[in-house]
Amino acid sequence: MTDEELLNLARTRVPKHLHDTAKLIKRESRLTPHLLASKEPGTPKSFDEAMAAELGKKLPPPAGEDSADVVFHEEGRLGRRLTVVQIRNGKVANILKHG
Amino acid sequence: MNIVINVTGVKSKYAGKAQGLLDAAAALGPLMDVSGLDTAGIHEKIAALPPVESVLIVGGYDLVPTFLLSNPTLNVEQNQEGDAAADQDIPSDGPYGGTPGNTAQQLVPTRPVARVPDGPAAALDDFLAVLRGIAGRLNTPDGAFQEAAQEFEQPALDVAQAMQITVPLIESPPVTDADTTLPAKVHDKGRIHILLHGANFSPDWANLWGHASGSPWVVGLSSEILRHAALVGSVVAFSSCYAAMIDLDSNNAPVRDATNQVSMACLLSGAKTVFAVTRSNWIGSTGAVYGPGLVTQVWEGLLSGKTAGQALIDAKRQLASDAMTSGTQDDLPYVYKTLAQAQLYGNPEATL
Repeated sequence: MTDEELLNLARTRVPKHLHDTAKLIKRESRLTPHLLASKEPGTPKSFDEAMAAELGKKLPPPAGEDSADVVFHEEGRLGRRLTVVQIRNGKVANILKHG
Repeated sequence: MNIVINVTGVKSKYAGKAQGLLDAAAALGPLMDVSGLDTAGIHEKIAALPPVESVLIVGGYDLVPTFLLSNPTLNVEQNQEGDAAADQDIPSDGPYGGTPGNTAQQLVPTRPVARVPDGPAAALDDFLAVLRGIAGRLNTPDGAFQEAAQEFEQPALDVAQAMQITVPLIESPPVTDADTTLPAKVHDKGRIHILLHGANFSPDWANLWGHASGSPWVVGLSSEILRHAALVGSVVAFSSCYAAMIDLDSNNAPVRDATNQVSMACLLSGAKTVFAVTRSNWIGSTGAVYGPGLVTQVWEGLLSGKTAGQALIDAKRQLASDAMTSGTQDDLPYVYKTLAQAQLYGNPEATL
């Protein structure tokens, strides 16, 4: 799927007034949850591997080609609130909001 | 449990009244003085304890610092670098429960760690009451209370199932804090779950907020109501954003205390333990994932007889394991943020 197709799929799952705020997040921009004091924060892959080893699990697969997170936002009384449509392998897998 | 306390800091902050606080802390367990130590030094000292022993940190960040973790969903949350609307960091006591140098255990610790924040020096009497309250081996009252933003109905109902409660879910809107029956509904209830929205700035952080798609924000519950509820022996879990946030809005309110911090309000009312997060929580469409998913696991642990501290660390491991088994690598940042920011306030050895 093209970026525009991913965005349009996500737009079908949120109110129309949010559509223009869509922002595409792809896996290349992943971050790690490292200690801010750490001089060597590592990479997302190394962190995932450490976590999998700690839990005695195998790493989950990367999401397929037609995958991305599409972030929508609106400003309100409590500031900016997000809705994230997670697209995995060409389908909407989950819709997240900030609590 | 071991009591982590900054004796020098307590004496400096509370001056002539410090001994009363030190005595109240000593009544909870052996004191571990961490005066003058940074997070790394405190971590090494805690790590030297026998592995099964839990830890209670006494005081806010001014007395015993917390770790700051980077936000693994910062790229999702910010529109540009330094964006104040995004969570730039995540305060977390979780790493104190892991082995120094073990990066994974920062998020999935092995030792139960809790904190009891103290607030400003002028509120010492409140803090002493909290310490005395959590020292008791209190039975959990009967009855339950649950309230959620209307848009979070389904995840809240899923958590309620894990809690094994049947009391109706209060939804906001239409309910607001102006509902005169609300205080009586939370009063003296033993199992409490709240999935309202939270705020990270003053004065709105004193309240919890209801919301429905297309509707205005309304106050669904408040520190005021929680502070005056009798919650002696209650177990409280928030899936709300920022319900454990005790760092300050430096441009605004100079203190966090039971008048403007919802978890501290619950502790002052007598709650023996409070589960909450320091930053914005991710809420999915069911109670099985992310913030509510962690709380679901916590309640299942509590109901199986685990202590609060053990229930939280086991819940973190279970959520992370589930993500490894059933998710994709692209889902992990949301799980990591959920794990990093989940904290326990109050007694880590409390049970239901």
